[in-house]
Amino acid sequence: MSALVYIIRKSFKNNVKGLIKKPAALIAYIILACLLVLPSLFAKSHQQTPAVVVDLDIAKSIFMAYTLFLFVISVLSSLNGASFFRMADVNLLFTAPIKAGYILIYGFVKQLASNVMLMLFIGLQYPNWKRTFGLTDGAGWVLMIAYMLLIIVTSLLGMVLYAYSSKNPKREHWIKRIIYALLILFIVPIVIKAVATGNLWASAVEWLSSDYLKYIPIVGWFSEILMGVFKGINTEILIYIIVNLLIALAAFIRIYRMDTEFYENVIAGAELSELALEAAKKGQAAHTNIKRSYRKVDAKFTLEGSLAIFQKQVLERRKKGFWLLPTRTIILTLAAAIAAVSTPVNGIELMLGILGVAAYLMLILDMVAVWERDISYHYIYLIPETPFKKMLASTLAEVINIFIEAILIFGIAGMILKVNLAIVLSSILAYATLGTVFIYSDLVARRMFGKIHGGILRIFFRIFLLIFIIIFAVTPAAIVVVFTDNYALGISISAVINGVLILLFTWIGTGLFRSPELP
Amino acid sequence: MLEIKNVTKKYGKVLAVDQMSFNVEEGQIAVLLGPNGAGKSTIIKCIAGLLQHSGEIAVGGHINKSLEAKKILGYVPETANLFDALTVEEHIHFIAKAYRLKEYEEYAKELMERFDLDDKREKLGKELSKGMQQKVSICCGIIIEPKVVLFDEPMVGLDPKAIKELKKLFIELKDRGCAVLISTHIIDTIKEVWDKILIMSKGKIVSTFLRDEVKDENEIEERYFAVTGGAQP
Repeated sequence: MSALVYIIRKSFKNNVKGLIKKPAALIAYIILACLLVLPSLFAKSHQQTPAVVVDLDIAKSIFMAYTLFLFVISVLSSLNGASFFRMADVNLLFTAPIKAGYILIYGFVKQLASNVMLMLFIGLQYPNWKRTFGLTDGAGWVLMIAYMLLIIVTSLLGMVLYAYSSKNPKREHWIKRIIYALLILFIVPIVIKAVATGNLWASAVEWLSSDYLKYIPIVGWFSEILMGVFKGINTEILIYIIVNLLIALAAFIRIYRMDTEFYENVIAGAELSELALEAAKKGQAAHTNIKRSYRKVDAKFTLEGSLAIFQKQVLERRKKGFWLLPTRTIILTLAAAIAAVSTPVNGIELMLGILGVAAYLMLILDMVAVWERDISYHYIYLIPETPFKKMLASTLAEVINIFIEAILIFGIAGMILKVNLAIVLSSILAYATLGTVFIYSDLVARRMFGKIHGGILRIFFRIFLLIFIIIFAVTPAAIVVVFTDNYALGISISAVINGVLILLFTWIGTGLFRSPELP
Repeated sequence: MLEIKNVTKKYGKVLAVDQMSFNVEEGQIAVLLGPNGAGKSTIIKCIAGLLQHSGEIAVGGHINKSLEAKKILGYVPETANLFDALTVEEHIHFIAKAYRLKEYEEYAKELMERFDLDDKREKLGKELSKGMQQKVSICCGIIIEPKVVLFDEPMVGLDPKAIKELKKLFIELKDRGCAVLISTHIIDTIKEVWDKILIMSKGKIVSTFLRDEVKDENEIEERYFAVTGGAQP
C-alpha cells in the first residue's frame, strides 16, 4: 500500500513542478484560482435576501438535465472501455505483489483526484450561490457530496457495465439501447408538449421537474439530492444518498470479485485510454475516434500545394460519414428550428436569443479542432508552402463549416419567424465571424499556452475573449440599435469588429505553422 | 549539399545540441552515431525545420526553413506518424500533391512494391502494424525525390527484408547524388553503406571520420567506445 501512496504523492509533486516550468500556464492558473477564491472570501455571508428568487421547478429541471447529461456521457464512455488506469499502472502495479483491492482503491483515488478541482470550485462558489440564489445552510456540502458521489457511482457502474458488455457485443448494443430509451423518455414528452403548447421552455421545465422522474434510478435520485441545496437535507434525500452508496459498494464488491477477469478488462480499458490520451494530444476528441470505423471513399487528390491539406481534411470528413456538416451543426439547426416554431416571442428578439445561445454553445462545444490534429504531423511543416497559406488551408474546412452552420441556423429560423432578410444576413455574418474568431483564437491560445494545458486554459481564454467581444463588439452594436432602431446595422457592426479580430489572430496564429517545436 | 554551422538547441536549461557543425556532400551517406540522449534526433529535427535553434543550417545552399530548401528535403522520422483515415496510397498521393509533383505514379508504385505495400494500398494508416507504418513513412519521405534526405533511426520495427531493401535504397540515393544523413545507435545496421561517421555525445560531435580512414568495420566500434567513454551503442 505504501508503494501506491508513494506514486500518488510523487505524481502530485511532479505535476506541480511541471507547472512551475511553464510560466504562462502557471500565471493563467493563478489568475483562475484567484477568480475562484476571491469572490468567496469577499462574499457577505449573512445577507438575508437572495438576489435572485429561484423557481424550484426550474432549478429541479436544470439539475435533472445536468445529471442526465453526466450519467449518459459517463456510461457511454465506459462502454468504450474508458478506464482510470494507465498502461504504466498495468505494467508496473498489476504485476507487483499488491492486493487487487488496494490497486482498485488507488485507481479510485486517481479518478477522484482528477475531479477535486471541480469539487473545490463548487465548494468555493457556495457562499456566492447562497447569497445570489438563497441556498440553505450546508448546501455547499450537499453539492460537493452529490458531485463526488455521482463520480464514484458512475465510474464504478461504468466499469461493471464494461466488464459485462465486453464479453458480448450484443450486450453493449442492449445497454446503449436502454440509454437511448432513457433519453427518449426525457426528450419526447417535452417535444410533444412544446408542439401542442408552442412553448418549449415551459414544456421542458414542466416535464423535467415532474415527480415521476425522481424515481428513475441514479439520474432521478441525484437530481433530488441536489434539490437539497434549496430544501435542506430531509429523510428522502438521506435515503437516496444511502441507496447510491449501496450501489457503489455493490459495484465495488462485484469488481473486486472479478479477479483475473477484472484485470483483463482493465488492461483492455487502459490500452484504449492510452490511445485516447494519444489522440487527445494529437488534437482528436478522446474516446470518440478510437473505435471509429471509416467509410470507403473513392476520391483523388486534385488540389496542389497547401490546398492539398484542405482536400485531405474534406476526404477524412467524408470517410467519417459526413462531408462538411458535423453533428453539432445538425443539432443546433434542429434546436433553432424547434425554438423558432415553439417559442412565443417576437421574431427579432428570438433571432437575437438564438444568436446568443448559439454563440455560447460555440464557446463550450467542439473544443478540439481539425487543424490541431494536423499540426501534430511533421508533414504539415515540411510541405513547401508559406506558413500563412498552410494555416489558411488547415482551417479552411472549419471556416466553411461555420459559415454553412450559420446559414442553416439563421436561414431556417429566419424563414420560420419571417424576419427581415437584412437581419437574417447580418445574423449569419455575426455568427460566422464569431465562430471564425474562435477558430483563430484557438491558434493564439495554442501559441501562448502550448498543447498540454490547452484544454482548460483555452476555455478561459475563450471566456475572456467573449468578454472582450461583448465590450468592444456587442456594446457598440447595442448602442447603434438603441439610437437607430436598426438591428441589422447593429449586428453587422459586431460582425465587422469580429473581422478585425480575425485579421489580428490570423497574423499571430501563423507563427504556429512556422515554429512547431515538435517533441 | 547539407551544411550545419554552430547549431545549438536548448530545451529549457538542457543543452541538447551544443555548437554543432558538419556537412554532408552530394552523393554521400553520413551517419550520426551516438548513445541514447546524445542529441541525434534533436539535430535531425533542427535540420528538418521542426525545432527552433540558433546557428545556420543550409539545405542545397538555402536556409532550411525556406521553401526552396523544403522542396528538396526528405525526412523520415523516428516514429511513423500516419493519418488514421488515409490509406497507404492516399498518404503518398497527398504528399505528392502537396509538393506539386508531376508524374510520380510510377515511382510511387515502385516504392510500394519494394516495401511490400502494394497489396496494402487500400489499408488505412491506423490498420497497419508499426513496421508497415514505418515503410509508408519511408515512401512518403522518398517520393518527393529529395536532394537531401534525413533518416532518424529508420530500421526500428522493420523486418529483415525491408532492412535489406532500405540499405539498397540508401545506395541508390547516393548514386543519384543525394546527400543522405542517417541517425542510429546500432552500429551494425549501417556497416555496408556509410561514407562518413559523426559520433555524437552529450550534444556534440566528438569524432568524425571517413570510410577510407578506417582499416575495417570493427574499427568503428573501437573508435565509438573510445570517444563515448564506453557507453553501450
